[in-house]
Amino acid sequence: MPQKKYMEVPSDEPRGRNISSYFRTLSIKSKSSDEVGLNHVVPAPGTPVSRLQTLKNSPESHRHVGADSDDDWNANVDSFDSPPPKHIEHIPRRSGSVHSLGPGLVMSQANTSGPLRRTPQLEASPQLEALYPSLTPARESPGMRASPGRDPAPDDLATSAQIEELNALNAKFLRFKKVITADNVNLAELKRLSWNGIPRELRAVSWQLLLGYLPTNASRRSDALARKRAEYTDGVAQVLGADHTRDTAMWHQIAIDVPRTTQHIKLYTYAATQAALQRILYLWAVRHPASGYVQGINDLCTPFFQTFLASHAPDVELCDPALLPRATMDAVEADTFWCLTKLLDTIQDNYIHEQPGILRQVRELEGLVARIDAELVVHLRAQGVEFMQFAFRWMNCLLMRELNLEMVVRMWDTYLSETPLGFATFHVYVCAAFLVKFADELKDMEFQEVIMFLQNPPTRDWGVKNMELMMSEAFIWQSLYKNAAAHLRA
Amino acid sequence: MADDYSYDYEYLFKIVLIGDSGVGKSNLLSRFTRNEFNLDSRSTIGVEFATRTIEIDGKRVKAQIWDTAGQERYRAITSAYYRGAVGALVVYDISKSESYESVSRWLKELKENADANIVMELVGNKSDLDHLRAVPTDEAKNFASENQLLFTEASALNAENVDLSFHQLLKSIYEMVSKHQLDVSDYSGPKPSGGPTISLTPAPVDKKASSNSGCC
Repeated sequence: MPQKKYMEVPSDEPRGRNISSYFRTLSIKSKSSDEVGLNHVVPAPGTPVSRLQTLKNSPESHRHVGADSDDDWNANVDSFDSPPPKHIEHIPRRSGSVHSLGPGLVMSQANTSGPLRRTPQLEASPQLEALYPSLTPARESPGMRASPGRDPAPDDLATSAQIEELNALNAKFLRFKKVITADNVNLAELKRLSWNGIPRELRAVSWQLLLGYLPTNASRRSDALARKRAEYTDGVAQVLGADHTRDTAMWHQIAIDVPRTTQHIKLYTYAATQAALQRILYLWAVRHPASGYVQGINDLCTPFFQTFLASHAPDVELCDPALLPRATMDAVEADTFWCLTKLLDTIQDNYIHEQPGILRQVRELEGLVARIDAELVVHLRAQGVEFMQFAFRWMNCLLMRELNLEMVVRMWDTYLSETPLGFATFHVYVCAAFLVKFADELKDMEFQEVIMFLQNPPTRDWGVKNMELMMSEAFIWQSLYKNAAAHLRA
Repeated sequence: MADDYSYDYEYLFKIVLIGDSGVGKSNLLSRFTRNEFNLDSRSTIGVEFATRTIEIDGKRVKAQIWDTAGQERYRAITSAYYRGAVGALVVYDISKSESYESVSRWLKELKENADANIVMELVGNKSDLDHLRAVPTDEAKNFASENQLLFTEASALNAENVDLSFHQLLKSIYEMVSKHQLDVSDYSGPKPSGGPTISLTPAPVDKKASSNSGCC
């Protein structure tokens, strides 16, 4: 029975069960679109809505983007750490008792990121440039979605906004769930949904499906997982066993880097985490002698490790893996290894001798930015700034040094939904969107300021929305320029 | 830091920081340029950059410092930054003998990729870890003098000798450059090819060009 098989994948237990039962018990009657004054844009769930379309409108109409159920997904959210509520039976409509929801409820939805639909029609460049002023969308407050012509109490508005959000959350979650629990997962459909952000509770299983690690055929999953996990355990036992000559230089390099990986998150300070990362990286390095371990690959491990672990530990950032059952940790570690391997397969050239993949990407980035904002490139050249000086790291660590982990995880939802995977190609377009975001500031800077600015770009306050806007822009640049190789060679 | 963005300097020296992974290059740099030390600092990918302007003999000397990744794999990328550098800090960790043993390899790297007259200094970092010392001071000192390297032991953690090590390198470069300047002004014939490559970059006229390579 497919449902049963599905339950075996880590993301559905125990947290997944909680959340899905929560959805089953939650019953909220939505206001009609007329009631909330949003009748001009209320797509059926799953209907693509052009983000660009809405952005071109006035700020006022932008607020009504909330009418797109998907766009409500993570509005009002500042923090994603709160665990989902255990159980909600009833939410009084217009009772004003917003607090009965608890802040955790609303916050818990955020992880699932809002959708930025791919826009079917491409806009011309000038129109895109007009978008830049709105790159930092204002956070919507619940009151913003008040229906005109009525003057309800603020609590009432907040409640209805939250109800909308919950229903949007519910709808999105169910759409994912439907795709994921099918006997045979429709990957194209999963990609279409995932491009716009995956609900946190379903992220682990979605990523594993998108990477081709988890078979799309549900009946094959448990066998495949068991085999891969055993294979990993055997592999580790072999390379760390007495019969294997330890590559001490490699081991040592990894041992230096693991304790300085993502140390601002408590999870990575625990010995059990560090030991797992050390094994994962070492086994990968031994099996890929053309590159071996290269600094930065340690960073690429963490989104997988944390996402897979989150299925078992609600407060993943604070979790000490030593406290989890051994079998659980072994599975997380093995899954991380295989998914990291799949990712690195697509960017192996980044890490082999002389790192030709990175050189190519940096060249492409420069060519691309020259098309998007020639003035910026002229300025950088005049200042003696070379793209290699700042973009090398962007490619080597996939912007993980520039963006916080939560943003990176959201970014990977999209990368994993690209065909081919977005880490080699789409990433260059994302880097272009990233650089161009700061174009105005950079054009006023001289060499040293440019380098220092880009070494430490001001992304600390970025939210998922910023990320999603950047993905959308990258998508457009890719659509415009991808097959125009001549553009990039210029 | 304000001085970093001003044109208020007379000499611009490009310096590279090299040495094995984990010896504390980035923290030496942050201690010198920002008086900061970060226990959780991540590995350097490729190169990172910082500057500080100090005064030597009444002249404002700006150090433009490129901090490089220690891992072998990055050598192809980082060695490109040696060009035009007039000074190099070769860093090892006094508590890790392997990092000291690598020093000759780093010197070879410099010989192959940097300008011939580059001024080099050997820096034994983590002097606060004296109880774990694996490299005797005298041994390193002797090695330094045999190889015409300046030498200090320093601690980025407690800041001991950090300024000193940078100052001593910059002063040595400054002395060499001012001497060279005199030599050149005495010389009236055509410039010899393959002559000294160390140069000073007067500010602000050549600033932009010099920012690129740190040197002509």
